[in-house]
Amino acid sequence: MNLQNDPPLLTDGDEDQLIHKLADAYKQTESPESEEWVRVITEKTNRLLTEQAAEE
Amino acid sequence: MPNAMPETPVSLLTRLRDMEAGASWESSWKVFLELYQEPLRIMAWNCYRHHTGGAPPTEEFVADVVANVVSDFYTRAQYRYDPLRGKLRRFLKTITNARVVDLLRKERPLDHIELGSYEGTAAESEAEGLAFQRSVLATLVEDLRNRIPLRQFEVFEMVKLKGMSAEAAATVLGVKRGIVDNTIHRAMNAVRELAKDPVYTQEYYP
Repeated sequence: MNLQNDPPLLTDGDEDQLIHKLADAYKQTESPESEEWVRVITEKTNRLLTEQAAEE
Repeated sequence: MPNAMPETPVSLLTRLRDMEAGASWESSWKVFLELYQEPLRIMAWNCYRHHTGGAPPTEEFVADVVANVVSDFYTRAQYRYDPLRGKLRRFLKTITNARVVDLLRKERPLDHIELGSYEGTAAESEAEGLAFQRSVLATLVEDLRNRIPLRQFEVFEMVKLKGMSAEAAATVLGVKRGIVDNTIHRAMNAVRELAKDPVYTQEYYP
């Protein structure tokens, strides 16, 4: 990986743009659709982890 | 002799990538799932379509894949992530593709026998890349929540993340407008510091 080619997330002048992107990301994780997916997948993950623990 | 200087806080992204560091194992996988389920779902969708000639997966299939990826990521030593070997997004794509193939073989055993192994993986789609970037930024927001005083984060959240005016926030909180402005100023300093962390830059860009 050559990190020197990657620009920083926040450069002079685009602070508003970064905040806009942070707000968009924040709203996405807080959306009802995301919360429903998290609920369903959490149940499935818990079941898998329980099964794995029982096998060990 | 105890350290005279406080240790530099390890970023949340670093802790999420290293299951032996930082927060407890259970809280780590739950935070990881909340922050990264969207790109993982899109990865699962794309990998399924790649291996089935474009057929869309069911939501149940996608949820099963993501649950398996999260479980593997946090419990199986062979899936331990090593940042020196590549980016997290590529590592997650590799695991996701493997779990899609596993579940397809269970779901379609005859296809497996007739067509042979499911080879290759889907290229990263624009939606997948954007979703991963959103996850990295959401991780930065969670990192900010853990680094600054709760009240400071709440003001930042109201004004910068939820779009409330500083004037309205001052009214809701029952404080002077200047206090809200100063609090936002301090929170923005923390955002600037976090945004400089190479771990975010490294994972944000493909």
